[in-house]
Amino acid sequence: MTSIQSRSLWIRYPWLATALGLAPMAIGLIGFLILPILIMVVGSFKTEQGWSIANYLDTMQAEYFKSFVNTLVISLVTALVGGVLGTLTAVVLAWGPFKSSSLLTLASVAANWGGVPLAFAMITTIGNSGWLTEILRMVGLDPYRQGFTVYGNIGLILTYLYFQWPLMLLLMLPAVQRFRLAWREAAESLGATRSQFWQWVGIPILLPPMIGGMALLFANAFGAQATAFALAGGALNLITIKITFLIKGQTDFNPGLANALSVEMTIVLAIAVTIYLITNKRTREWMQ
Amino acid sequence: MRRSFFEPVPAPNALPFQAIDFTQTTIPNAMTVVAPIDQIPKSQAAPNSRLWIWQAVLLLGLVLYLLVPIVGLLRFSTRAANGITFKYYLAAFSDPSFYTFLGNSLIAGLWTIAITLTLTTFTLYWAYLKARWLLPFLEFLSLLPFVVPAVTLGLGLIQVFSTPPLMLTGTPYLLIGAYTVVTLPFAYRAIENSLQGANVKTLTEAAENLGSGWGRTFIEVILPCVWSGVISGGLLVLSYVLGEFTLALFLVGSSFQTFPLYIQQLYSYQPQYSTVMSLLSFISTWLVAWLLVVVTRRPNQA
Repeated sequence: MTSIQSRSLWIRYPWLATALGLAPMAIGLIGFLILPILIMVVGSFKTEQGWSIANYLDTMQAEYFKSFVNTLVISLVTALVGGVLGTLTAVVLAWGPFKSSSLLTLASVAANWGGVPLAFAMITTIGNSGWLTEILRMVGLDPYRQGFTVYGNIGLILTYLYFQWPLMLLLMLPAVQRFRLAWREAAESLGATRSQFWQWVGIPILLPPMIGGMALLFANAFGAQATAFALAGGALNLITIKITFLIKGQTDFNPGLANALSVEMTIVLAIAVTIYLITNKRTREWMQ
Repeated sequence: MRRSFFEPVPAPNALPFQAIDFTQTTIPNAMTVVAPIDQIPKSQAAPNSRLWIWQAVLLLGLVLYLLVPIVGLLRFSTRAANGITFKYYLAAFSDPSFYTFLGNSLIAGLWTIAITLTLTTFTLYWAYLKARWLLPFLEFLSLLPFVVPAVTLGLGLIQVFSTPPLMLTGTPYLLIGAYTVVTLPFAYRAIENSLQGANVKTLTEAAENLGSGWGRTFIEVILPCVWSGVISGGLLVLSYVLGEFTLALFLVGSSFQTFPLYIQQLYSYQPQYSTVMSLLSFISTWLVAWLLVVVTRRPNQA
């Protein structure tokens, strides 16, 4: 009896079944994603005295402004260097004489590993008493005499490149593999010179996936926290580290300011991901 | 950091050599794109001796860059006054807190796998069946970790769940909830790929004509189609949870210590143990990558 009734209910209101089936996912996303982001945005406009943009004005203080710029520079450098190295490696793997699937496995492990263990791997390698540092010292090239330190910005860039380079390789490989060098022969038989081919065919095809990949690399570095936190604790001047201490620290606890910084960070990341989406659309047009 | 998720079943129109289908929005999880060697196209370029050397240098450079830091971990964890010692390995693995923290991470990981995979498989099935307009939105979720990194999500969650109606901060429930949201893209990619191959609507209608209810259809007809996707999704989720640091630091801290938190804390008083654990983490990531290749090479049952 009830089953007949309930079945007729499904038939009379088909959207009800659809909505009920999608409800668990929707509830999960609302509770653990949308609500937290909303609270963060609302909280960024709140101070003890009520609604204001004071938190955003505070993010313009020299200390936080510097960390924003520093994060931006580090992310751009690792995206550019990792992007160029990764693209070149993808080109070599796809077109060159060396084929290695174990290299690809190594790259995928490295691109996914990261975090705390990677920070310690770098410290034991190029830290003050790391093995590579000691070898360089024996040769007479002490990097720590030149002002280098693994706990600084250069050290962080070298550490981030550990996952950025292989990530770019894996992002570019499909696009490079679809690219046929036979197209060059086709262009040459139609009278194009080598530079004309690259100008009108090669670069327009390979540039969009390259820019898109670098945009993702940028976002990847900009939002990263674990590696930097394990590498140098609070010593690195990064936006994610500042947020960590504003919400977890005892002395500079200030959730309103953390929210404002986080909203600003999200805007930068949204721009990077939009660039990726636009270039990805172009890539799809070319690659079909 | 992420991350183009992996595609077990090539799209029907796929070229034979492609590793991932770039015609779709590619979500950058690297774990996925392990192309078998036979799928890499034969060299298209004419051999050129000068170029050959530069190519070798570049590839060798990458291999060295990725392996030299691992050597650092190996050396530091075995260094002794006179030669090599493995006593830190024995000591690190006989420390009871290691098992507690690894156990915590495994518990969080298994719960996350159970919830994420059930939720994703069922929702995707439902969307395929009744609301295909939803698929682009679900696809967009894949880029989520880049727009909302762990710091942002942790900051928001800690504020939602530390006021009275929902006091979950410090409990593993909150951490598992957060991991479920963050790992949705991994599960989505893996399962969507298997669902694409199966004709969900026809299978469901056939099962219904034979008198099966939707629950039975889901378990006995749809699940076997996506099994390889479920397994690889589970591996990706496990690998993520075992290495996740930021959310654990923000949401639970010292009340539910996970494996990465343990590695980080050990470093200040037992750095050798910490490097042993870092090596363990590298090996387990490697194991997951290897298992993913094994799982995806097996022909799909569907």
